[in-house]
Amino acid sequence: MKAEECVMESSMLKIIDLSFSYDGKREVLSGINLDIKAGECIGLIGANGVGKSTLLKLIVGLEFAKKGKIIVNNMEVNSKNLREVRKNIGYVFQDSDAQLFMPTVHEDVKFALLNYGYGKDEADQIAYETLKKIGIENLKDQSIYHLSGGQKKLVSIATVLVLNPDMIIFDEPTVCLDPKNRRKFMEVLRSLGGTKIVASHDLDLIYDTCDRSVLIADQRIVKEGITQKILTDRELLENNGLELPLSMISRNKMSVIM
Amino acid sequence: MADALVSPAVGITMYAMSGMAAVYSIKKLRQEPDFKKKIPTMGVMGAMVFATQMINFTIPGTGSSGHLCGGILLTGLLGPYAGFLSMIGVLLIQCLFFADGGLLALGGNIFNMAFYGCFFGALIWKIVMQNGISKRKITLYSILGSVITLQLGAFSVTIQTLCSGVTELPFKMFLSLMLPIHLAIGFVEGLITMAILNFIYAARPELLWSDGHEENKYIRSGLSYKKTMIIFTCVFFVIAGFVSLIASKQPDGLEWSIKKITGNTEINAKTDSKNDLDYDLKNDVNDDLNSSLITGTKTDIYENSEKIQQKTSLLPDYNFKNSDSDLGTSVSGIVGCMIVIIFLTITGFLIKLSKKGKHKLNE
Amino acid sequence: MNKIDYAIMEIHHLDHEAKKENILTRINPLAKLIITFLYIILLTSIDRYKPQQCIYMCIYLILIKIIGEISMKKCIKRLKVIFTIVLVIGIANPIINRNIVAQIGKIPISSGMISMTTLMIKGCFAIIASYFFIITTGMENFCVALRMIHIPGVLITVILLIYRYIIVFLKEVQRIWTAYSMRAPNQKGVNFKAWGSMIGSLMIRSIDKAGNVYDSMELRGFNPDTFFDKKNGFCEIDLIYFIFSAAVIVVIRYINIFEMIGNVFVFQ
Repeated sequence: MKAEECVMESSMLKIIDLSFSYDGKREVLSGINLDIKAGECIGLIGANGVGKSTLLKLIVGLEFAKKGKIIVNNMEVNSKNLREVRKNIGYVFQDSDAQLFMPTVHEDVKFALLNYGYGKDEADQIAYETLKKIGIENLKDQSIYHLSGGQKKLVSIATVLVLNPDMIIFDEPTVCLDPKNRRKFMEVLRSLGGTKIVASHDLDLIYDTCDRSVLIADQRIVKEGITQKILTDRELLENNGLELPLSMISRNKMSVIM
Repeated sequence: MADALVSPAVGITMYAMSGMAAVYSIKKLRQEPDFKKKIPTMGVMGAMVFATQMINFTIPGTGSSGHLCGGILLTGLLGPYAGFLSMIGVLLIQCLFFADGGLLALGGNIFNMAFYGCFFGALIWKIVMQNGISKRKITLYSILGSVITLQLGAFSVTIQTLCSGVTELPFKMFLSLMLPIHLAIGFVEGLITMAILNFIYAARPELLWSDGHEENKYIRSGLSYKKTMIIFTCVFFVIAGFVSLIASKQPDGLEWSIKKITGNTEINAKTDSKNDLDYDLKNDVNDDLNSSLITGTKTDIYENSEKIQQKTSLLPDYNFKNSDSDLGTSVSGIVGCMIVIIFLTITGFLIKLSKKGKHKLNE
Repeated sequence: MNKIDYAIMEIHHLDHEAKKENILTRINPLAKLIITFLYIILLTSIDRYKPQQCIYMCIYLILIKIIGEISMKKCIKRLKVIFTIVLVIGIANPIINRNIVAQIGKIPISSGMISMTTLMIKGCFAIIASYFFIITTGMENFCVALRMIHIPGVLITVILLIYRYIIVFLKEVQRIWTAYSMRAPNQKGVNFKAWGSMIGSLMIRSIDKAGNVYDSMELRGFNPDTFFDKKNGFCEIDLIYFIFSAAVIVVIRYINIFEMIGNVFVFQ
């Protein structure tokens, strides 16, 4: 198994006893402990509103926790080394519109490069290569207002991929994608190297792409383990507001019919 | 306000005033603890104001419709400093992309719409919301704020236009035209603002400005705020007073200052402006003169006006004393200009043609 | 609503035009901004009884039009807006000042009419000049120019964000308006009862969305204080443009070159 091979590698993300609340009263996350090794693909699952997005925001330093520690690549996430941390992490937003704001695809993709001090020609080249890697170099000069939902998603992946991050975070990546685009997205996801965290309640996606999964409910981690085990545990899922992946259900039905 | 309606002196003065307010706002904004989080909200609010300006709101009872100016609304949501800065953005984009206003008039427009709307609006908000926010108070603030700040804005538009010397309307008449129109506009804007703010108050009250639970901080900032407002008002009135003094006692003072900036040395302009401003001030006398002009038949119009001029020397005397030569120069000037235009157009056409030819050759 | 369609199209058009490659678009934005400002200042400083001098100022505009290969079609539409504003203020001049100064054929010309003409010409030319500026510069470069004169990054970021969001919102407003008018077919505008909830709910939704946009900018290393500091100083071509345009504007404003040319043809 891939996950077992990775155990030998170094830790990419370490979360130690993390608690967080927005207003100082109601805790959104409490006592989170998590260790992710380099090269792993982790599925973060949970029903709507259990704090998946909040956890992701804490990892990239968009919010800061009062209690607990987050260590990315041996650096603690705090307001001082934010720039370094963020250079190492790519974050693909749930809403692609939020991610794309420059007038054309090409400009949007090289936005991060220019911010991190790359030269103009160098940035142009890297941006083009990144677009090619995902297979959307034909969109280079398109206006971002004229992209379809699927194209937008791919472009927003390109915008974080240009910096060649060690870890990429996807927040609900398949929302609003049609089946074909979803398949295309999964292909791209599989082809990417590095550590990946996929937060989603699209359990089929998790089942197909992630080695290990983390189930969050009631502000804490309920279960952590190999994806196949968690996603086939009907009782566990249903107790935490989720359902079996569709592929599982249809497989079960098939066996009933047979 | 459009570019044509302001003179350079007035335009630059207003830029300086608005610039001061902007610098101060940025300084204040930076002191707020989470100011970086406010930036996207400022952008959104600005764009919202812009987009809602495109919607016509039907006024109940009448068939007419009004739309939004935005200062009061932005203050209620963002506070004066952030509100002022987003209004600058809105006005700038309107002027550059939609020809609403102009580059030179921008300083004045910011002052007339954003400064009053945000800073005076904030003052009104502070007074009205002293003991917490309620639906009724929001209504009061919206309508009162919109009406007052629009009146102030209209008043300073009048002053700026008159100081620029583009209109021949006497001050009182201009003011009596501007204020009632803006009273109606202000009232409608107040209603729209009220509707929006009340909805937000009901749905997400924490989005409104100056949250109640920071009471201590609120009072402290209120004091310094008052101080600044007093300073700003004083500065404004000193400048306004200074300008009007120059305008009335020494009618060519303004023109003189323009000349200092632009280096214009024409004498005609000087006498003109002097006479015109005098004319504005003493319009009572002129009414009689004008009526005599209107009643006079065509043949004795020249005689009449010349007589009047000799008598009072109040009316502009441009082109009278040596009208022939003056007219002559302007005719030849226009002919010359036309020739240059034709020459340029032909050259441009030839360049285009040669480019096209090259294209064809390349193909 | 036609107004919204027009606004969306206008922004796309300007974005598109500013990306064209020609001499003018490549010139340093600050140089263009200063020249445009100079032009407008010299134009508005013209005396109100000298329409002919205003007309001379069109030479600069024609030059820019030819060099920049700018189409005037879209520009005409913008003039309509400014015409109404200037007309409202200007119409009073011929009514009040009926002092007759000349006669063309049998039509008497009053100084009020002259000053109104001057006003109209000034209004048009000023608008055309700023249109030429923005159409050859674009919003990003304009922001760079603002940064070069040390306007704080925070303000520029806000301006740029507003510009970015405008299209998003215009489209959103358009959708809402369409949905609204389909259920309220006989209304010209939005009914009083729907004012608050319509705009208010849009606003609340947008604030959350805007937070995300800014977050994503920050995650990619955006810093308002340094982002616009792009190193593009004045190079030779900028200097040539600057001196040439300034010279043209000053000459057509202060030297009676056209009268000299005209005299050759008129009084011989």
